[in-house]
Amino acid sequence: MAKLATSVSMAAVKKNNNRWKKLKDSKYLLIMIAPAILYFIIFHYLPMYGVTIAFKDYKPFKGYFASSWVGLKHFRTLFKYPYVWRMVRNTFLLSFYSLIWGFPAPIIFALILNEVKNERGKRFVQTVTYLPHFISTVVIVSMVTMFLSPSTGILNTFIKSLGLNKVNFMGSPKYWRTIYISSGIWSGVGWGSILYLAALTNIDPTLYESAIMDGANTFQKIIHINIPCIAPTIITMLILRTGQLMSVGFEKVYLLQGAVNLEVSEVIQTYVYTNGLRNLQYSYGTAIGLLNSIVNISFLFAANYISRSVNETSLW
Amino acid sequence: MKRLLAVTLMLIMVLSLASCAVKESSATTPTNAPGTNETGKVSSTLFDEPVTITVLAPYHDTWPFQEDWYVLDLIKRKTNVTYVMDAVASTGYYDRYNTLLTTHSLPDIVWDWTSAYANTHGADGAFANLLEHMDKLPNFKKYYEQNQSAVISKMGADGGLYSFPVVGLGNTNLRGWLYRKDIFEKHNIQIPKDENEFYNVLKQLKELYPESYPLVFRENLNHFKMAATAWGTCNTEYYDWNAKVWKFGPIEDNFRDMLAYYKKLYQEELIPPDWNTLTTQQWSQIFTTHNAFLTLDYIARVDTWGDEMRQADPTVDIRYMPPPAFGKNGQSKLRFSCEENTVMSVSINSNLANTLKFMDWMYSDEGIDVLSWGEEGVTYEIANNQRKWIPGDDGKVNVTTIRQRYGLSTNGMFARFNYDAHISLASEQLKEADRLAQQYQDIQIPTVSLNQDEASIDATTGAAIRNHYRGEASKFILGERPLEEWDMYVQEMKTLGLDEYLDMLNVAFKRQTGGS
Repeated sequence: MAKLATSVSMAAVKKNNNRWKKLKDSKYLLIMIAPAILYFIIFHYLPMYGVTIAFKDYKPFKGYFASSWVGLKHFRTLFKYPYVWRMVRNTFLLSFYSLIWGFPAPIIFALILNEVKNERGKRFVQTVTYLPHFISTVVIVSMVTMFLSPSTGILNTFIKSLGLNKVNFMGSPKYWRTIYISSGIWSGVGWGSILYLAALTNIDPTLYESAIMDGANTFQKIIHINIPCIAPTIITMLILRTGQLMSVGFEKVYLLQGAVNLEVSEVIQTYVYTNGLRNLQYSYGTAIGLLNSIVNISFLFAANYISRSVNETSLW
Repeated sequence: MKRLLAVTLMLIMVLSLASCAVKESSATTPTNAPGTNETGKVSSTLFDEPVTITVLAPYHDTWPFQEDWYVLDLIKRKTNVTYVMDAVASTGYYDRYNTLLTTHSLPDIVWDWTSAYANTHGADGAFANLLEHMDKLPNFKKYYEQNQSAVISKMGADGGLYSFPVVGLGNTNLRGWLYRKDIFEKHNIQIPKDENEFYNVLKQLKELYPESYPLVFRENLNHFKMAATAWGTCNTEYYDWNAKVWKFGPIEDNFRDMLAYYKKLYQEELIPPDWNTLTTQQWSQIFTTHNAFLTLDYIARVDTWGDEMRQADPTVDIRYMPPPAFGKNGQSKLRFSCEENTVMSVSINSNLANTLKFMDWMYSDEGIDVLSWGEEGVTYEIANNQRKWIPGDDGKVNVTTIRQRYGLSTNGMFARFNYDAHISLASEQLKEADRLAQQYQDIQIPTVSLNQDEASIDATTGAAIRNHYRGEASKFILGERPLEEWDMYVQEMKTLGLDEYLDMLNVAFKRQTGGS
């Protein structure tokens, strides 16, 4: 018995020594990664303590510790807001539709671009489609409102020339989501396709050769070679996107928002900005943000779990 | 390896702490600036001994803070105060503010755009409650007693006054009806006095200029912030000074009549079809390209638009139009727009007595005068009994150059301003507009300060009411919801909790004003 115990502890010591040796061997790598680890500890992990103010009546001058605990008061306040479900639904739908329409767009674009044989033309198209990504949201939004304006906009001038009635696109909740999503696709499609184009170039050319031998046409090559080969990339991106389902970019929604479209355009983020923080309610704002993050993380876990059980690709 | 990691971690922590400490001490410890002994001998200054006062204020990009500004020297000579300014870019202002606040190292004076922060942090002990120090503030007391209705808005939820209102430049916020006087005179159109005349004027202009939209305004429903007053109502909750209760404008009959009126203007294309989505740029373009003849905006447009348009057509003349009275309970008045939200708060620290004395000086006749005009022979001269700013070497003088050159009327450099100093530089049109706009503005609606519980009612019930109003009012004007459903809409507002919301405001306001 005693013998066994010593041998176990001996093994432990040996294992420890091994680990120590491993660390020693990789010390330069560790030194190199140290700044990154420190960065995450100092700027991402330590500040997480700040979420405790969601459960407090936070008073900045008194500090974190002196502010009193109030439990779930701020979470309950949120659900007293009569439009809370409309707001949650808007946030979800806006994200969901963006995902449905916006997610396949860069993939399709990348697949099409991949078939372009003229290198020059391909590069030109690529560059042009990247450009909108670098235009600031404020500018995109004012471009959208200018183009869609019923009195001076290009689109309405065109509609009028066809002999049809002018449409006040921004003046009605009907078109709001479509405008939001389509302008999002326009500005993001080129940039989003970079990743898929990169994945496509990594496909083994012998696959194409044998496909041609078997008499596959372009469409069949795309379906049977291109898509399966970039599927892991697609799934990884999809999982990541699902993790953001409950957060929409605040800036663009806020800029496109107006009195008329409030019923479809009020999302959690704009509510926090316009009402939650009106009277310096730090704790209330934090509580909503925390709730939002928890929902997002559970979506992420769920998507990852599903993906792992359906096929082998997953984030972890 | 572990030790190395630990040492590095510790080093970084120590370093970051040290840098915090350095910042703290530089912000709090008053330092004697050089040159104090030269001017210290003057006996007529506010303080006998040299005093240093620190101040935090955002600077304006067009006139960034300069260490050698004349105004700092002026303050030194008049008061014996070395005024040390921590000037921060306005975009990063609240970052700096919050850092100094949470580390308890705010300077003596803190400038802010509104009193909201001061009230919240003042109640927690960061700033002095001026009501407790009134005996030391004779000059401010005079202002306070004469301007009670304005000071009420600056008070906190607990009835404390945690900031000095910074006043005198509010005139730049004055708004009103602006019209094309030259066009009116050309067609012999009289200034309208009521809603029918107003409508007829728009009709007539539309006939004369079929491509135009005679009335144009921006910020969609926010137009009613100013305009609703002339209809005898308000676009939000408002305080009825006679009945002494809080009321909600957008459920009143006057408000319905106003929406019906704008619906008519919309249907007959007397306002642009996209009135509810016009950007400032589009709105400005419509007016300056002679496609609109009436608008409601800042009176300064009289000059900015006028000068721009006169380059092509010298006959253009934009003027202030006395507000027509609209509807059954209409009045020839517009919403109070001489808004003065800016404040300066005083930190509770060892320098408090000196800081209060200095702030009070800013409200004294001498303080007001020198901080508005500077000194005779230096910044202005007197001709025909009138003060005139001395032009710079380039022959130019305007509100911007005064600020750039001397630092006068920049953030933190005055508390009570004499607006004569600025309006003296304005055109005749603007002077007239300024005078009329003040004459035709209604009494100010006070701002209510809410405590934590009330604030959460505001964020839920209040938010729902505001949203419902904005959505439905647009629909009423666009005709998407018939006005016959007005009573139903009022009922919806009550279901959302309008009465409870108004009760909350009444309670909060009573406490804020000390029950009176």
